[in-house]
Amino acid sequence: MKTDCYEKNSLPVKAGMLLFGIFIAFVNNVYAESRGIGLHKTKNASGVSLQDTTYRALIIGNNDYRRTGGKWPRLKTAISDASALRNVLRKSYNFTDIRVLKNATRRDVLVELKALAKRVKKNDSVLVYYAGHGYLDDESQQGYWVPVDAKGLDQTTFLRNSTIRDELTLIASRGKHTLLIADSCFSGSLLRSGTRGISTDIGTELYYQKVANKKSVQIMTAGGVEYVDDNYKSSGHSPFTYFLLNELKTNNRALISMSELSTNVQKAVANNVDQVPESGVLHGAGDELGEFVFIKVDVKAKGIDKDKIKVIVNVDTEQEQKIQKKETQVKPKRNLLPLPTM
Amino acid sequence: MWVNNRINIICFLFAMSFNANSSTPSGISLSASILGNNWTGQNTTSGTDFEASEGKQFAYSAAYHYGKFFAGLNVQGGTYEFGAKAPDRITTTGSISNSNVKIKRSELDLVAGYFITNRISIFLDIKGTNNNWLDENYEQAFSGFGLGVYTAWPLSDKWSLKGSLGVISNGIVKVNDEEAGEGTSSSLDIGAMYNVSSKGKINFGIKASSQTYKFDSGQEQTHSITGVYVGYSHSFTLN
Repeated sequence: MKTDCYEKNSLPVKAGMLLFGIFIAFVNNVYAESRGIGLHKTKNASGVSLQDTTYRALIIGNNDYRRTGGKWPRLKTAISDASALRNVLRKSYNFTDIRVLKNATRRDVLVELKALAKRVKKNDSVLVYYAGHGYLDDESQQGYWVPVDAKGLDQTTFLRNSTIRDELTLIASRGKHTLLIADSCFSGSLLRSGTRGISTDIGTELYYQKVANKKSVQIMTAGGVEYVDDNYKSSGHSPFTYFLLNELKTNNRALISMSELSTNVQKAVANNVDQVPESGVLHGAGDELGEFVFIKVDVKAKGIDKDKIKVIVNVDTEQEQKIQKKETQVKPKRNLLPLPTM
Repeated sequence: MWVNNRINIICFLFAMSFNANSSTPSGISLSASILGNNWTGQNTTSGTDFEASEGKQFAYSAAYHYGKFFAGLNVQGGTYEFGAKAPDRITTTGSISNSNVKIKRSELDLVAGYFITNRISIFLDIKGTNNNWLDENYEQAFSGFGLGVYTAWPLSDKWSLKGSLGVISNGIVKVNDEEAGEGTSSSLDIGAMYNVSSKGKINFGIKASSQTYKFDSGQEQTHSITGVYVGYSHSFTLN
């Protein structure tokens, strides 16, 4: 999103921001490497199983900026982005607790974030998505979400990044995995703490076991500190959410981590529009290099009935072997047994 | 009457299996086997033995599996030729020795079972056996209700051992549809199974069964059928 976003002192800054973004990206890469992310094989994975995880989401889509003194034009796709994301998360990724806010006021957002924090339990995975106008104060480099009841450029009526960060930190302190996806102008201003590197064994079972057992507080944004587009090719979605939805829908793997997802979305967006999504961790919120892992429940496999596909996630190796041994050696054979007679 | 009661028990087990939780895995298995076996025995009263010179049986079965329950029907039969040593035709009043006869043997089993562990099941079997002297107006029938134990022991993804042991302790013997005595039956089956696919398996082994008929006339006859078999079983998963 979203054209017509405002930026205080928005003079020559666009080019400057681009350079700044490149600089930040460079710094982030260095930072990620310096964190020394490496996965080491362990005999038994410990910690909670993803099977015990409840997937929750708060999805916010703001289109109708009506009483903003003409400063914030109506958006075309934020609500449809939110609705489409809700549908794919519910249908394909087993999100069982989804709240959708359409045209949310500042209070609406804060109330729902606090309510969400109360519902979150120890092992939960929580996704917060925002589509709407964003604002960047060029002097302070402070970013904001703009609710539909914002009054012109009065920043006190906006939702400050630090406020959002505080609410997410609270959610993260209670849950296992927290992911913020922001599709707004300057959403990258939430993300000043570096992207993470992707492990060499990404995609392997061990990888998912490791990252799912570690706490994560991650962010994926539509852009850095830049303007982003609305209504990509009249699709009814912003380019960022268009490609995010596309990745979620076309993904045919049972497990996909946020890093894998964001890498794919970043490439797709950057290849098609003048916009570079970013991803990373929320600084100071307790991230332990874990990963928000999406579990696709309607995975398709050629030649195999849908009902026959079983997704086993985050089971330690020894236990999984026991399960496989039990299933392959006992239950199927019992059903296949010929009838005994006397 | 006793047969009706036992059929009721089998029907009850069927009903139990159908009324179980609908999410329970269920399936149907169909099997066909050939048994190359030898029929020997003894006419106890006359002190003579008999042995078929040739014979084999074909067996067909269908079973319904519902979770730990299974139930099904097995039919098998074949014709055996006897030379100089053949089973006597025993009746309530006496016996007639035979030679050079053909006897058509047929067996019917109505089975219901339950897996008490993942590998061991117990089963009930209402069994009927007919020995029909071809070219003679003589037919022996044995029927009874038995209890058995059945096990399948996986060795690998492909191979399993299997075995069953069953006993009928109080069967009825009829001659030409007239009750003529009582009998017992026992059987032992030891074999192996090989999974040729996720649904198909070849099974083979040795099966020995023995029946003893005690006629009201005081005479006794034993029948032992021992041999090897090989068959194919195919399974269809219903949920």
